Amino acid sequence: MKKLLIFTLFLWIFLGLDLYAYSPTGHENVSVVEFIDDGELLIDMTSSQIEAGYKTLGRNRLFGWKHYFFNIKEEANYVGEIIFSRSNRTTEKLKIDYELKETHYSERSIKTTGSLSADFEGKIKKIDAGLKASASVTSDKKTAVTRVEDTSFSFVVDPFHRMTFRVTGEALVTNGVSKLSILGMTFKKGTWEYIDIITRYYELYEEELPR
Amino acid sequence: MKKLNYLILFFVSTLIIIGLISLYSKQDKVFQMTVIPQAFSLVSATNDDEEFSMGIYFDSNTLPININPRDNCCYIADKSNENQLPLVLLSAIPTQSQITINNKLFFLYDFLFKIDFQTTSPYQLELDEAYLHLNRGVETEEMLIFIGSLAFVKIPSMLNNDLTMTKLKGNVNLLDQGKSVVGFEMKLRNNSLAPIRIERIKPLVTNLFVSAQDSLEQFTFDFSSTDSVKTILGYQYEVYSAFEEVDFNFLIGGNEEVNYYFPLKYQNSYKINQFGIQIDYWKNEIRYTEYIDNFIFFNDYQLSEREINNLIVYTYDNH
Repeated sequence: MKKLLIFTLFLWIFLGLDLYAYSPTGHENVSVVEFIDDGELLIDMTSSQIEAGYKTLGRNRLFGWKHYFFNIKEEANYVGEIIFSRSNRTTEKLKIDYELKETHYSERSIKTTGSLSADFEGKIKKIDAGLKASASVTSDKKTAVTRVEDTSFSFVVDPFHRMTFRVTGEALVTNGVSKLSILGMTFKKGTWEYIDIITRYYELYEEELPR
Repeated sequence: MKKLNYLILFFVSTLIIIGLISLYSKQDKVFQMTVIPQAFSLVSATNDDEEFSMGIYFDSNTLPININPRDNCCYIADKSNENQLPLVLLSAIPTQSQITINNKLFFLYDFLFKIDFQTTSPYQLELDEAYLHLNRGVETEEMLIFIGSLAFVKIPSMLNNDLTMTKLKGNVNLLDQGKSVVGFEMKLRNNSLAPIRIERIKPLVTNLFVSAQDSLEQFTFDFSSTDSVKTILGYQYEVYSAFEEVDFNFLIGGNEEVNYYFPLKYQNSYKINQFGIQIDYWKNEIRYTEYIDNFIFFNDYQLSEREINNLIVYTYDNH
């Protein structure tokens, strides 16, 4: 057992494997995604679907990227993270002051696989700019903005109860496969997916704890 | 040939210099700014300090005002300037967000203010039309910006033994002004043995009311935040229509819990995404008031074209 543990540690150190928190969607802080019309997350696609995407890219270019989109800005509802959950196992009421800082921009969760590394995020910005440009001449009537929210609120948790503050919302999902060719040979390839958060809805609810 | 080259060079240089001068002189002369109007609801206990932030867009990526709490005299007031709420400008932080208005780029700054007003007793200030007066620091010139409406409420304490709010969830629909709260689900628990009669539920936002006639008791429908108010109530409901404020008279028995859905009525058209709630109730023939602190129901990251077109852009001299 000890040998196995040492061997596993050895693998982690020398192969540089990363540990990630498990998320059913593959995106941190997004636990469920339900598409309003058609749409599928990469994690739910079969390998043959992904392979079909690569095939659609066709023959390699001499130089440059080729992209195939499975979904472009597909509307979806999502269940997000639990922002906090406070239990009160005392016999006294518990007053909690909470400060919510929401000064993020249009939030985005990006996931890449294959030989597409973190620097592909820059490429995604270009892909996104291209999509926005093409959408602006058709039906895109929305502008992404920052909503500056800095609010504090107080609430009371009764004895032997737990108060949970969670977020759900609306998002746009874009995913696909990409391939980079250099001198006609595949240099990098992989799948990628990004989720843009459009609206976050907050919900506060209490549950009773067993005594 | 050489002369011609010199002549072309001279003309091109002159044109570039004239262009640069006109460009810089134009930039230096004026600057523009705008704010997305909304219904501000600031609720806090009498002994607590209150800070709030507001996004202000400028057509420049450098701020045309100096930030120094001693120099920046600022306050929020109504149109006639009779009712004022003094502020201290704490910071103005640039964000990466931009919007385009009439083909011009505007950069968003996150302004953080502290409300410079202390009181030991309950206090309420409601401004139907609120204007931010912002001094520019070294200059004595003041900027005036319409920000929507404001409800500033100082309450005795939010901790009460009779009622506990055990659920709060917003119902958000797309209205003329964009996404806005049109109703909310709230569960209340009576912690006392005596029955409680709810007389009134009042959102602490200017010109926003709960329609008592349309409110639902023993509400069990598991709705999505974006369900239409019509779907939840089961009949056509007009958010903007006139209505008469009447008592609720909802009873919560001793140690009982009741879940409600409260649809809202708007008397103005500002975007509302957060507010506190005042609950007036009777117990043993004594009237009490309980407060639910300011709660953010939703946060959206998109502006519709209509919202952008409706923005008021202010132009000020840039000294």
